[in-house]
Amino acid sequence: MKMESSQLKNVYFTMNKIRKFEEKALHLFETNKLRGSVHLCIGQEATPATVCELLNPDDYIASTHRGHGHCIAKGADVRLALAELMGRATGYCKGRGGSMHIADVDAGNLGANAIVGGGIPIAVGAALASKMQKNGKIAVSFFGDSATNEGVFHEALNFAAVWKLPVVFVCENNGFGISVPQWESTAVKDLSVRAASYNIPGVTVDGNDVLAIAEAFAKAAERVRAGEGPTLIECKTYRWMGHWTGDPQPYRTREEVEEWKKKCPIKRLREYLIENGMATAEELDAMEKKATDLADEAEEFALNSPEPDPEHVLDDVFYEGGDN
Amino acid sequence: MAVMSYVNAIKETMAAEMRRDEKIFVMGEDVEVLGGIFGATRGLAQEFGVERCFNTPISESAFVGAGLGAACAGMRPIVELMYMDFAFVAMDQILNQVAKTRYIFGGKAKVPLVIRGQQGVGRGNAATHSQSVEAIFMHFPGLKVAMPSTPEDAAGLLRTAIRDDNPVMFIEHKQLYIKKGEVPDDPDFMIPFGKARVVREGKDCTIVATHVYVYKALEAAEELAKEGIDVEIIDPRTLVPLDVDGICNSVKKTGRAVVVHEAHRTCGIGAEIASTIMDNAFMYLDAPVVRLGAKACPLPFNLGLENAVVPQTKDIIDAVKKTLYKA
Amino acid sequence: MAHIVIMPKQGLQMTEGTIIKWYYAEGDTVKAGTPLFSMETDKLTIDIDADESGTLLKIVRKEGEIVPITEPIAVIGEKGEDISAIAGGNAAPAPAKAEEPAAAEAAPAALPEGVTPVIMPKQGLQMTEGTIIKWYHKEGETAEEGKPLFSMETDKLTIDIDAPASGTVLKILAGEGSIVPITETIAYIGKAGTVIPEGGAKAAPASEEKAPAETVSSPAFTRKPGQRLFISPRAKMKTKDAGVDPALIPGSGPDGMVIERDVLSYLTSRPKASPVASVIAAQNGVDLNAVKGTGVNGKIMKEDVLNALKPAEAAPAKAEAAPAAPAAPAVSEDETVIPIRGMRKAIFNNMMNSLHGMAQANHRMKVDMTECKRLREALKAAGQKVSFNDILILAVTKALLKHPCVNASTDGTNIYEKHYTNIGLAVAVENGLMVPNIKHTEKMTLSEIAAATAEQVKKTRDGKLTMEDYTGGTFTVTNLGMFDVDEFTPVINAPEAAILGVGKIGDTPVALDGQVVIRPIMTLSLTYDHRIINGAPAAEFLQDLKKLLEQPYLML
Repeated sequence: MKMESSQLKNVYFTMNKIRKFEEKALHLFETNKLRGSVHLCIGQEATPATVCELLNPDDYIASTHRGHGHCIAKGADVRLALAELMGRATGYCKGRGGSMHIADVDAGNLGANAIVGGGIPIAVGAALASKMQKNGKIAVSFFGDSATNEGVFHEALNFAAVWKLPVVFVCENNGFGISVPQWESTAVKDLSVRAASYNIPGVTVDGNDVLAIAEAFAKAAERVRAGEGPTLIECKTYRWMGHWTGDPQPYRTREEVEEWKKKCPIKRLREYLIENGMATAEELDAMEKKATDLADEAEEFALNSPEPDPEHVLDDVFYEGGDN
Repeated sequence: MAVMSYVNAIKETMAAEMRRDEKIFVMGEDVEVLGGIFGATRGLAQEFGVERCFNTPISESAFVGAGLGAACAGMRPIVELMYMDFAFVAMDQILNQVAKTRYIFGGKAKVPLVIRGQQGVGRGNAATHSQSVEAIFMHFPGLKVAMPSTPEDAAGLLRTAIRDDNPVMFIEHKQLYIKKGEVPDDPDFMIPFGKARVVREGKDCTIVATHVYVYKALEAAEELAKEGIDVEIIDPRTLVPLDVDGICNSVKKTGRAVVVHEAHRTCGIGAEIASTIMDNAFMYLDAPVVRLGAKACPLPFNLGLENAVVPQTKDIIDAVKKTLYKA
Repeated sequence: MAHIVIMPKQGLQMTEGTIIKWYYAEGDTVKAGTPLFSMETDKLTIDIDADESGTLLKIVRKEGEIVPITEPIAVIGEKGEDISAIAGGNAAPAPAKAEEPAAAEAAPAALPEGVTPVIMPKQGLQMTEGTIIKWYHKEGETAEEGKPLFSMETDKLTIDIDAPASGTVLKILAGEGSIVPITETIAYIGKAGTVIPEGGAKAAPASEEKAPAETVSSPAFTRKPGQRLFISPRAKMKTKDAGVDPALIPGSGPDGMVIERDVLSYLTSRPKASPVASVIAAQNGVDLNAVKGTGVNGKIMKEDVLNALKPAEAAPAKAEAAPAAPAAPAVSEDETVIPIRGMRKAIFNNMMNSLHGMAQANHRMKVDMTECKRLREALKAAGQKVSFNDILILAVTKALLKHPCVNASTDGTNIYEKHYTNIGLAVAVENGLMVPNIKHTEKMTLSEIAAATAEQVKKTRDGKLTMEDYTGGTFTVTNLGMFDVDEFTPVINAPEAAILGVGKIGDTPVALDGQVVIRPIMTLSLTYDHRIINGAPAAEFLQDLKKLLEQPYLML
C-alpha cells in the first residue's frame, strides 16, 4: 500500500507540529516555565505521525512516557497539550497528569504511561472491548524497546494473540533504555522476532522512513481489521535528545548523535515529497511555519492559562455521578 | 428471600447483572468451564457463552490491564483473581493504572471495573495464598474496597460494585464461601458503600471486625456476655469509602474499641481505623484502641502455626477486657 | 504522724531522679506547698513542694543521689517524733507502698483442704462494694449450700446471698455493717475444726478485677501536690459532665490512671455517706471529703454533715480569716453568733442573687375557694385524698401551659419558654427550706399529682432528695397558709421566672349578687421577673388561675 500524497503531506505537517511542540517544551523547561520530567521525541516523529495518519479518529492508542508525539498525532490540540505540560487548569488532564500522563480520551488516546510497558495491556483491553462490541475499532499500543523486556509486554502479546484482538503493537526502538543501549539489555537484535513466541507477524522497519512505516502498519491494520489478530512492528529510530532535559549523556558520543541527525525523518520526507513532485518547497515551508505558529500560540495559551484551583484537588479521584 | 451460600450469592449476583447489562463480562483464570476454583463463576460460561465468561492466560498484569482498557472503552469487566495474593503480580496495573486513570486524566475517563477474588487463611494454602491484602488497596486512592462477611452483604455490595463507575476491589474470603444466609430476591438489591453494619449492639466496647472476624467477634461477644461485658460489633463492609461516622458513633457510645482483622497488624486497616477513632472520638475513649491482626510473620502452612499467627477468639476476648482494664 | 517523702514521678518517662538540692536541713520546719527540694531528670529540673507541714526529721537521700521513683527520700513529722519504726534508723524505709495497709500486701497462704472462701459477690453491673447487713450463721454454726448465708446491701438493692458450700462457718472476716469491695473474701466455710491460717485471713481479691472501691473507701483521697493526674479522655469528659474534680478520684487504670469506671464508681460511691448525708451536703455545698464520718467504716452520716454545718465550737470561722487560723469574733454574752454557712449560706446567696438578678414585680388576686373545698370533700368522700396544694399544682399547670411566658427562664440573651411543667413546692425543713419539684405535671392527673407531691414531701423530710429532685423546676408554688399568713411576697426561685405565694384560706365576707356572704377566700401572690414577663400577661395568668380554682371541675 502506498500513501497518497495528501496523506504524506499530512504526516509531514504532523511531524513538524510535533517537532515544534517539543522544541517549545524544551525552551519552556530551560527557561524554568515548565516543571517535571519532560521526555522529548525529537528525531522519532515519523512513527507516531505515520501510524496515526492511518488510524480512524475513533481508534484507540495507548502511549508511553515519551508520548507528546502520539498525543499530537492522534489529533490533540497543541494548546491544550502544552497547557497540560505546564500543569494548567486548561490542560487535557486539568494539570493532574503532566507530560508523562497526558491523555486525550475523547480522541481515543488512553494516555501516556509513565510505567514502562504499563500501557500495553490497556491497549489490549480496548481492543478486547472493540471485539466484544463488534464496532470495528482497532487499538495501537506504542512502547519503546525497553518495554519488550517487561513481563507485561509478553503477557499482553500472548493475551492478544490468543484472542486475535484488534491491536497493533508498535515498538519505537530509539536505541536506549535511558542510558543503556538496546543491544546491552536485550538478548535479540531485532525486537520484532519476539512476535514469533506469540505466533503473530513481526516486522522491523526503518523508523525514520515514513513510507516504510506506512507500508508495515497498513498491512498490520488490514490484518487486525479482518480479525486475524495482532502484529508486532519494530520501528528503529533514534532519540536525539537526552532521556530527559539535562541528561549529560555519557553513554553515547556527540558524533553518534550527529550521524543520526543526518537521518532526520522530517528532512527525509521533505526531500521525498519535493523529489517526487508531490509538494513544493514553499508549500512545505508554509507547513513548517504553521507548525511554528501553532507552538507559539500554544505557548501563549498555556502561559495565560490559570493554575488549577487546589480546592478541586480531590475532584475526580472517584466518579461521583453527573455528566462526566 | 432465598437462603444461599456466600459463593452462590456472588455467582447469582453476577449472573443477574450479566442478564441485565450485556456490557458486563467476566474474565480470569479458570473461570470458564471450571467455574473458578471456588465455583464463583460456575455456570456463567454456559449461560452467557465464552464471549462473556472466559479463561485468561495466567497473566495477571495482562488481564487486569485489559480489564482497565476494556472499561475505558465502554465495557464493564469483572476480573477474577484466583487468589488475592495474585494481585501482587498485577500490582502495577492495579495501583499505577487502574487506581489513577480517572484522576490523572482529569476526570475524563470512567473505569467501571470490578476486580474480585478471595483471600485469607483456613485452607492450608500457606504463605502466598493466604494473605489478606485489603490495606494496600485502601492505602492508594482511587480504588473502592469492599469486604463482605455475609451472603446478603456479598450480594448487595457486589451489585453496587458492578453498577459503580469506579474501580472496585471486591475482596472475598475463602472460609466464608460456604456460609449460608438469606439474600433478598430483589433484582436491584444493593447495599450502599460506606455504610457499616451493626452486627451486634452493645454498650461496653466496640469491636470493629471484617470478614471471618465478624463471626469470631460474635463468639467472643457470647463469652464476654457471660462475664457481664456487652460488646458492640461493627462490620465496616467497605473500607473505601469507610463509614467513619458509623464506627465513631459506636465508639462514642461505648468508649472503647478493638479493631480486629486477619491481615497483618502492622499498617493493617486496624491502624487506620484506630487512628480514625482517635481523630474523631478521642475525648470519648476510656482506653487506648486495641488493634488485633496477624503477627509480623509470613503465614505458615501448619494449621497450629497458622492459628498462632492470626488472631483467635480468645485474643479478642482478652483485647476487650484490656480496654476495660480487666485483663 | 510522720510522713515519708518519696521521689515523685514527673512525666511519663521518668524512672529516676537526681536530688539537686534540699532547701531545708534536718530539724528545719517545712511548710506544705512550698519547695522542699529540687530534682532533675533527663528531661527537666523541678522544685518539689512539701506535701505536709512539719519538721524535716530525716533526709534519707542526699544531694547528688540518683533515686528511683517512689523511693523514700525524707521524713517529715513532729519535732522529736520517733521515726525509727518507719525509717528503720538509717536504713531507707520501705517504698511508698508502706502507706497502704500492710495486710493487703500479704500473700494469701494456701487454704486448708475443703475450705471454701465466701466472697462479696458482684450483684449487678455497677456494684463495686456491698455492706453486710446480717450473718444468718455465726462462726461455728453450720451453713447449707444454696441457703441464705448473709444479707447484704448495695446502693441499689438488699439481697440474701446463699452459702457457696455446705459446712461449718469457720471464720467471718467481715462483720455486720462492714463495707466490702466485691470479690473480697468475707468468710470461710469448711469442715468443723479446720484452722484458717493467718495469711488466709485476708485473702487477695478472688477475681482479676481490681475493685476501685478499695481505694475509694479511704475517707478522703487526694493526690499529692505535684503528683500528675493521668486520666482517660472519657473519664475526663465524665468528670466534666458531673462537675467533679478529677483530682479527687483515685485511679484504677495503668499507673493509677483514672478511667471511666473510677469516675462512675466515685460518683455512685463518692458519698461514703448515707443518702441523707449526701443530699444535705450537696444542698449546702459541703465537701464530703472534708467531713469525718462516724458511721461504720467511716461512713458519713447525717449527723456528721450537720455537725460540719454547725458553728465550730472552738473557733468559729471569720469570713475573711484564713481557714487555717480562724480568729474568734468579739461576742457579747447576750448574743448568739450563727455563722452563715451550709444551707443558710446557700439560701443567703440564692435569695440575694435572685433579687439582684431580676426585676421582681408582684400581683395579687383573691380567689373564692368554695368549689375547691367542695371538690376536695367530694374526692375525700370517694376515698381519694387530695390537698389544696395538689389542686393548686394542677391549676397552676393548666394555667402555665396556657401562659408559657410565665413558665420560662432567661440567660440574658434569649427567653426560654417551656412547654412542660416541673412544679417546685417549697418545703420547710429544720433550719432551712428545700424546693423539690414534681416533674412533668402536665402529663399527670390530679391523683397522680397528689401521689407525686406526697412522695416528694416525704423524701424532703426524710432527707432523701437527690440532685435531680430539686433541679430543673420551671415554676414554684410556696404556701404559707398553714402559718395563717394571709398574703406575702415570695422571692423567685432562680432560674425560674415566677413564683406563686399562696395565703391561708379564710372565711371572708364578700359581696355576691348584691348580698354579703361568707366565702372561703385565698390570696394568690405572683412574683414575676418583669424583665421577661410583662404585667398584663402576668395578670392574665393569675386571672386564668383564679378561674380554674373557682371552677375546678373544668380541670378534671
